[in-house]
Amino acid sequence: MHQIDSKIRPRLIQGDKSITDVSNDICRPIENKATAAWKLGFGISLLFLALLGGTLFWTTWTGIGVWHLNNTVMWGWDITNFVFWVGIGHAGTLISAILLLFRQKWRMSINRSAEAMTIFAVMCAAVFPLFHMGRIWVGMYWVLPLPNAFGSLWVNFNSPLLWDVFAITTYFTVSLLFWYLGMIPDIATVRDRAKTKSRKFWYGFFSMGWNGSARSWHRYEIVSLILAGISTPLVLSVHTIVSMDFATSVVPGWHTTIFPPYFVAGAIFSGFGMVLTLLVIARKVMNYEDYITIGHLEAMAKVVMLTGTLVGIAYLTEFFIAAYSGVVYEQYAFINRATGPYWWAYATMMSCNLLAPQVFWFKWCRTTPWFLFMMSIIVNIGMWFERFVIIVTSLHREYLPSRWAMYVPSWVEVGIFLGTMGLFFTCFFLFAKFLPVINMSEVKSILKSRE
Amino acid sequence: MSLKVLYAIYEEGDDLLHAVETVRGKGMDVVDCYTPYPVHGLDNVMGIKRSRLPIAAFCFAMLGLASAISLQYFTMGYDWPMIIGGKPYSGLPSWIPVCFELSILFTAYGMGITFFIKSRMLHGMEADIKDIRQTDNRLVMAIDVSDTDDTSGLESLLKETKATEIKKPYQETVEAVKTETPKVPVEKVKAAPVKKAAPKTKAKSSSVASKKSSEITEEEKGEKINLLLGKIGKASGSVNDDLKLVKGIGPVFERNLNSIGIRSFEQISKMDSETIKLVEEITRYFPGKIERENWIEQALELMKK
Amino acid sequence: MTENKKYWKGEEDLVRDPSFIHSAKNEFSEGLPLEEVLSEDDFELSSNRRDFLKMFGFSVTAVALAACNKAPVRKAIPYLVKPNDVTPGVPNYYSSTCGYTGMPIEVKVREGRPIKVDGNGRCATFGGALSVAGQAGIFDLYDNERIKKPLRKGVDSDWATVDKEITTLLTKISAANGRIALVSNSIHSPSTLAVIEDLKTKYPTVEHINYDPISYHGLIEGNNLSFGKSVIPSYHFDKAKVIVSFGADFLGDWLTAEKFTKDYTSKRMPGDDMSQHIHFESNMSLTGSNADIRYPMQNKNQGMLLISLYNEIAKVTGSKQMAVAGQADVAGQGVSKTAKALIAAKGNSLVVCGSNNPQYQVIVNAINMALGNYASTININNPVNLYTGNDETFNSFVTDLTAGKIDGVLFYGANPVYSHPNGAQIKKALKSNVKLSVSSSISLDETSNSCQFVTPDHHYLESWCDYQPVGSTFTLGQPTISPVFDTRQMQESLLTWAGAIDAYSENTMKDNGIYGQEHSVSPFYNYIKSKWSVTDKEFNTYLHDGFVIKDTPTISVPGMIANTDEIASEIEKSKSAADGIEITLIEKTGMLGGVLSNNPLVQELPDPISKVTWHNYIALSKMNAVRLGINDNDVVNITVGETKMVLPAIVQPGQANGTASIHLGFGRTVAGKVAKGRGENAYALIQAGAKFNSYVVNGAKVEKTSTGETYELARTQTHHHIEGRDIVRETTLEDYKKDNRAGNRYEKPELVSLWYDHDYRKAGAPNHLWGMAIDMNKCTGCAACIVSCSIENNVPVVGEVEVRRRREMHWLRIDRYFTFNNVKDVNYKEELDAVSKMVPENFEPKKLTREKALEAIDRKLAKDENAGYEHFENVSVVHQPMMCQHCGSAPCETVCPVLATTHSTEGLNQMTYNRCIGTKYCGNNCPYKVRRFNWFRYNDNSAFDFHFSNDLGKMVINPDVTVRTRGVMEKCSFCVQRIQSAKLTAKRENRSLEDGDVKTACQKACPADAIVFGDLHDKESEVTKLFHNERGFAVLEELNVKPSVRYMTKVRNI
Repeated sequence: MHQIDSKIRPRLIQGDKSITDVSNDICRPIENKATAAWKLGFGISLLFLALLGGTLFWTTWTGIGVWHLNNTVMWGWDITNFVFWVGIGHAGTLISAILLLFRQKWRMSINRSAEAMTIFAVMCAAVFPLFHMGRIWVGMYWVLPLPNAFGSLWVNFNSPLLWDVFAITTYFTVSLLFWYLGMIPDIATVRDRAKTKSRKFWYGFFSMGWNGSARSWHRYEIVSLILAGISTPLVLSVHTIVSMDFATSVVPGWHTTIFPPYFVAGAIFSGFGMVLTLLVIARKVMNYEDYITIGHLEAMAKVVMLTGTLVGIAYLTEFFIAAYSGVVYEQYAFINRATGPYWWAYATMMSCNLLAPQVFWFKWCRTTPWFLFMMSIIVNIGMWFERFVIIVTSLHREYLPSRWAMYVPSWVEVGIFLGTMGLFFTCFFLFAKFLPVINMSEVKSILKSRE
Repeated sequence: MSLKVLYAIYEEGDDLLHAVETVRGKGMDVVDCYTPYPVHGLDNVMGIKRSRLPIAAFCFAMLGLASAISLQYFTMGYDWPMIIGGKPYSGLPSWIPVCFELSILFTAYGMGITFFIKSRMLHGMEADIKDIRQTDNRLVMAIDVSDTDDTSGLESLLKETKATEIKKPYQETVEAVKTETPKVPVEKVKAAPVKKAAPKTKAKSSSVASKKSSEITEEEKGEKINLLLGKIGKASGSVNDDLKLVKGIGPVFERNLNSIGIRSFEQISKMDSETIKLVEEITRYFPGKIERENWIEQALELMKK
Repeated sequence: MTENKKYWKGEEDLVRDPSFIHSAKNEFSEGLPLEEVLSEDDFELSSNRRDFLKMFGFSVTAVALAACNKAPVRKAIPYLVKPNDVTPGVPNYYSSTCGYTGMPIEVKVREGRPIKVDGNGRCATFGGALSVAGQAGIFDLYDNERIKKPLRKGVDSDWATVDKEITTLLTKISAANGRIALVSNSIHSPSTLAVIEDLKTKYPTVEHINYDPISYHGLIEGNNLSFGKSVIPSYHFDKAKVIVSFGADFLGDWLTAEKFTKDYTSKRMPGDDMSQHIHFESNMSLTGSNADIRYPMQNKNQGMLLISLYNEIAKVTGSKQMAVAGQADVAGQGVSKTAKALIAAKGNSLVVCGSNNPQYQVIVNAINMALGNYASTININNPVNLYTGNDETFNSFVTDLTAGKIDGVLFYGANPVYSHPNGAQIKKALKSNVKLSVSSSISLDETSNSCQFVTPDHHYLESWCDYQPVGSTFTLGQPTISPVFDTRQMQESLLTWAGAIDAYSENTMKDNGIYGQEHSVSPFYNYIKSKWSVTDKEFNTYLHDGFVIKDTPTISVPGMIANTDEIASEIEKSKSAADGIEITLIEKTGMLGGVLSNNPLVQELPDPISKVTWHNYIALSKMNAVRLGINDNDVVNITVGETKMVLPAIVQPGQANGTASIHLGFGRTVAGKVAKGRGENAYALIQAGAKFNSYVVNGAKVEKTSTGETYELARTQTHHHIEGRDIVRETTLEDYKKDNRAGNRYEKPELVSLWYDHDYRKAGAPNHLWGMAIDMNKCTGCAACIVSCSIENNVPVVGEVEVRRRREMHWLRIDRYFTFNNVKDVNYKEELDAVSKMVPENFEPKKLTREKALEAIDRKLAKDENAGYEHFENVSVVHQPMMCQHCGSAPCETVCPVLATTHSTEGLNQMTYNRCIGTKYCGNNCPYKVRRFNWFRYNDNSAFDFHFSNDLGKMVINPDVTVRTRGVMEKCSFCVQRIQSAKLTAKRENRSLEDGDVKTACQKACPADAIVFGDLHDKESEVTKLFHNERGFAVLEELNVKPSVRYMTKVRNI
């Protein structure tokens, strides 16, 4: 084996792996019995999933009133969490798609789990717009453009919420396709290594008869490239459209044209934060340190810093524009964010999103896994608060002071949020157990860094 | 169509690439290659025509766009116009997001489905496997040898290109070959007559390797066994441990191990990653199994008893 | 041959057995056992295979059919014989009279159910005004906690038993010469008074005592002392150029406030004719909030203020001064300015006083006398009869009762056990001292609960009655529904006990030739008719109209007989020197001092000033609150002498320093679930004096509870500062006279649309374009519109917890903002000057900037500790009704994903409830925040049992308006059902819709006529004119949402 080690940068995959090693390493969790740690983690996740089920049932059975929204603040934790999860869901496809387009090979060890994260995060996100509806039993299909027999009217294509319906479903299904397509060769590997009958059957079923033919690979690569090509604007469009829920409204603090780019940057920021959270743990627990190297973590830290700073600049721009506009309502909305009753949320957002990522100017911070993990949690918290600040602090003091009100979530709202965490991790644990977490075929192709 | 095909198995993508180049340079037709990972440049050297999937993608995008526009125009402007926020019935700017999303959706799924159809892929489909390791750690090249019965020249050529194994010609029905005409003139790249007698079975494992190639492997095997036993030591004649006690070793595997001279727990316990690789290469079984099932420790335990 | 041959089937045939012949006629010898199968008794009986299949087939079909029908099975019984005057789906309107307020009303009846009450606009005496209580009273009719049967010792009984026992006891007591008291709320019904006379004839020891929970004894006695006439005169606010009120909340709850509102606002149009209103008070009342000039006053200074005002006036008019010292105490409190204004409007002014102290009223009378107002604005010859209670009489009754000198008590509506400070003693006496105690009320209260017999009264919408609310005006009450329960109106009970009922039964009347009506079943109807002694035709005309106005007594100036000097010196002597906080007990809007406290509409109605619902509280001035360390919602201990009370506190801007106020009507112990245990009974604080009950309590100690406990009051508005926003525009009369656009001449932004208007909005389009104009100068904030809207549109009552969560459902709310009056007087004069220099006041385009600067000073002042927070007592108030603005470019419509809210071609922003999926996006995107979400199912839900959860309560539901399910958004619809109905009427009458044909519920209810609704495409309509008025502005116009509601700039006559 002739390896050419670049003098400038370390090899992407460490540990002098052979192709066989890659297969062995990555198929190990699938082929071995579940570990105790996995069982424990999965069990806890299932508990939280049960909490989700319980709280959602309670909400639907009794009414949205069990949340503490009011006639002034009609969106609170629900939409905050929605945007939070959708934001997280952005890194996956982004890592895969944009980095594929830019031929960034370091993506290969992380894109699979990042894409999985996307899928699961979008599933979690979808819980909120569905269940925040007063009448979910009709709302679930009334938002689709179905003929009149299903309702009295068609849908409203002027509404950003309807754009959301299209954007989120498109994003989810296309991401799912992208993820699944990328996994087919690996599923085929598992199939061909399989010993048990059921594994042979199921992996055989999902591998769709993949045999690694050069012709298939040729088409496969073209499909991947085009999918990446369309996914990139898709990713950008989805959070753009989510931001339009706010940007196209008349609410001071929502009504800003800066939202689309700022939301996209925020989404990448939070998405990478979440990827970091997951991978720092996963590489340790699953012994993937050779595949997900410090180099990977460092690259992600750099992205986090860049996007964090972008988001921070957006915050400051908002302030400037509000001051410059001369509109009293806008001005007040921003003063209220920083100094009103929810100042602590604003302070948390600012320090977590703008200030904290600046530590990544230092190499130690970028290359120390435990520190990165801590920072990723901070980023997640900060981005949650960003959405909370935008939604609640804008709504609670709007145009007419007579309707100003406060909003504190109820236990049901908190429970639903924790429950979606359960959903997310349940899915992720299942994924880690039953599917190859790292894209084997791609990693195999870069074992010998030929670049 | 039915072809007589010879399979050459490689361990490295680069070797395969060179081999394809070499083989095609000799005017032979490479029917297909099967690789566990995308070998870059393989499609070029194989002369695979560039797929027209991008054109399909564009068509699907246009279809999506057209459906979005017509859906929105039909519902908002024609079928049931409503006054919404004082806006015009057909407000194009607010249609942009849906147009965009539907275009993407149609492209992705249209192209995905086209890809599956073109690649003959479907859920639950039986995979057409030439060598069980082709999705794992071996690369397989399929060469059309329909026109000749004597493949010895080709085989030695392949050996030069670092082919680790060669599987004798099989009658095979393969996907219609569409390759660009190679620069080198080839007369033989023609479909073989169908009437040719079909051989016995489909190649599924190395046990049915051709005589010549098996001789080669036999030699290599001998070398490797020597190397292996040199490292882990030979079992003294009297020792004949019941290797079946090791979890993961069955009667067949025991026989296999015995045949290469491994008869004691001690030998197993002395294995390291290098020797394990050797064992795996010799036996061609269960890559990763020894490490996964932790034979070494098991053997150490059994030795104590 | 064969034909002749006869074959027999068997022996039976041969012998021609009759049963065989019978069965042979039927092909199937056995009938279908359908009935047997259907009768459940023994099913197995005789069904065979064929029957089984038949039944099976039937049941499958039946189940299939039943499954097709999703709707639950409801019983609907059609009219067998349709009454002539009832057409299903078409409402009937009947004239009647509100039993609570004595106002003539118009009752809307749908299929036999009264569902809405409005003022009877044809009656000139009251002009169709109806207060909150009048509107809300209809809910009491459908209260399923009403007493359903006569009670004897707390147990269900029947009328025969109860009547027999009561009559026996009455006879016994009367024979033994024992005293019998009939205690009633003030009765102004001539026939009822006649009935009482009949009772007295039968039982000579009966004495009738009128009792009012909120007493007007001071006013009556004051007139007695002044002129020898124990009456409440009629006040004419429509004739007064200058109005001065000393604590009289004449726009809120004082006397016929609804009528006063109508008169008052008729003189509030800016111009030369606009009246000036000067108000002295301690608490911030609704009336005070509307005053042009408001002087915070401690009630203990009230007497001295009145005397000095008199003296100031006397100085000019040359009359004799009242010689009192201590006038200096009240100097500088606006007296001289007030006197000047009054004198300028001499003969056209009006001074009123809300105090229950007769001596104060005498001084007020003297002032009015000196100003010559008895010739113009006060008519003492046309008295108001609504309140005739006499504190002295009642207090002596209580003394006698406690002393055991009274043997029998009949309560008629009155609830003194709750509303009298000595209620506990009355209760004890009722239990032990009397031989007979009877109470007649519609629902169980503290008094009836203490009586032996409870004879449930009809609700006034079930009763016949006549009334004489004002000397000149008689009104008639007719039932609009059959009695819901086994109740009987008190007049008939009294007639029964007096043994006179038979004389008025149908048969007797027929015999005497008096009876002429076809369907009358009520003896009291016959009684009234016999007393009125008019022809059937005349009487029917009266009934149809609902009122008769006799000749109004002409105004004449009465002669003053009181020795004012003596009274003045007495006032000075009695001046309270008590330390501590002075508490004023005030009425909660619409609660009538506790009569309507079980009414959920009234409970949920926010107080016009504090915006608190469902609870009472102590309102403190900011200065006192800061000194006592009390914040909003802190629970405080209140100690007055021996009486202690625990209530949450609020800091009320406008509350005079050193004073506090508490609402009456809460703290009911025996009442329905709505009122029971809610708040504290502040009547307990009244010091029951021998001469009059004073609603001002001196020397109260207020302190925070040691535990630092809080009680979060449910308020519908929690931020009271307008933050310098251009939401309400106002100016002064002076400026307005110079320039009609004053205060409304802001630089308007260039409003640019990205798209063109739809055709329906363009002038000359054939459709209607509905619009509403609200005159901020007329709107007093009385909240009658809120109640009217809620009843008309089936708006659910959601309860205290939900209001606390800011989830009240009122489609119409009244925003109220405070601003400081005397910024200039406090430490910011220099800053203010700087602002004025920087931006000249008359430089209109920059005025907004100037106002903003003033607001900044305001905000600073609000937090300035050095200023001592004393300025918080001197604030001015604006009330702004806010409902759906029906924006032409509505932000809510754009964002609804399912088109549940869209625009009609008549400019209405419509809500399609059954299309709504409840994303709540529209609510967020509404700049006016007028959309309401159904967080829960508010009907048929035991957690929200405020009338919409039981069959009786549901009878008040307006069938023209959908009852909303949970999960949908709702909001003001401009009463689209009324628009449609008016259009249909016009179509039926083959004419085009005229201006005024459509009156929204809020407009109809508004006693101030502040709301005008109409077609903007009709150039002649009133609303179009108002839209082009110089004072017209739209709230948040700069958003270019094109609202269909315009407000008229408020003009203050300062």
